[in-house]
Amino acid sequence: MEINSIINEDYTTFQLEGRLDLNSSSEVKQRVKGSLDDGAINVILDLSNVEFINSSGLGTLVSILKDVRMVQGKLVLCCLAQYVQEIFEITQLSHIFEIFQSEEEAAASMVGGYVNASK
Amino acid sequence: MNDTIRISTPSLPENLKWVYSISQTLLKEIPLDERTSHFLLVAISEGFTNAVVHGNDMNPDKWVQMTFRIGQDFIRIEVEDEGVLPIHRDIAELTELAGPEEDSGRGLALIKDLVDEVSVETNSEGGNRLVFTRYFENQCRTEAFN
Repeated sequence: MEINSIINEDYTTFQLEGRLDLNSSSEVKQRVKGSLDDGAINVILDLSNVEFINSSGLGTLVSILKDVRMVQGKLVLCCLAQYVQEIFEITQLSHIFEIFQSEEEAAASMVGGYVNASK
Repeated sequence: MNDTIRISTPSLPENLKWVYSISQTLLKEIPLDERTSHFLLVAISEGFTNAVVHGNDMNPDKWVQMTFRIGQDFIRIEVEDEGVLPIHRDIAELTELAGPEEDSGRGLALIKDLVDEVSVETNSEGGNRLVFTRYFENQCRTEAFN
C-alpha cells in the first residue's frame, strides 16, 4: 500500500492507495501512530484510492480512531469509493466514523467550518 | 460449467496477494457483475484471513486449503485450516457482528452478508472448514445498500 502524509497546520492528511487488508493494515496503523507520537492530533484519512477494504482494514481504522481519541484528537475519513462505502454500511461502522465526500469538507471539519457530512 | 479448483498455501499473510490473483482470474470466468465479483473477492479474502489468523494462528507451518467449486448457477468456496473450532459456538454466534468499537470480529459477519449461504464445520483432519456459496441469480442482492 502507498501511504503519503501531508502535514497541515490543524491536521495531518494520510492519502492511502491500494488494498486495505491483512497485508497493509499494520503499516497504516504504524504510520498514523508514529504521527500521533510526533505530536499530530487531528487526522484525515483520504481513501479515494483505496479500492478494496475488508475486516482487517476496518479493524485497523477502528484502532486508529481509538488512538486519536487517546490524544484528544479527531479522525475523519473522506472520499470513499462506492464499494468501500457499502462495506462501512454493512458493518455499521458508518455510524462511528465521520465520513465526508470530499477532502475539502473533511478539512473544513477540522477547522470548525460548516460542512455537509455524507452520512 | 462445472469446475473444481484447489489451492494450498502456508499461513502467511503475504499469500493473500496470491489468493487475490487466482480468485480474480477465476471470477472473470463466471457470470457475475462487477459489484458481485468485488464483494465475493472480499468474502474470499475474509475466509483466507480468518483461516490464517484465527484458524492457524499465523503459524507458517500450518496450511490453508481453498477449494473453488463452480456449478451452473453457483460458486462455492471452501476454506480449510488446521485449527480447532471453539466449542459451543454455532454459526449464528460466529457470524455475529462485532461491536462498533471492537478491532476485530467482523470477518465472518461480512461473509454472511455478502454471500447466500455460509457454514462452519470440522473437516476430516480435525481442522475448520468454512463453506460459503453465492448463487448467480441473486447477484443484485447488494443493490439494497445503494
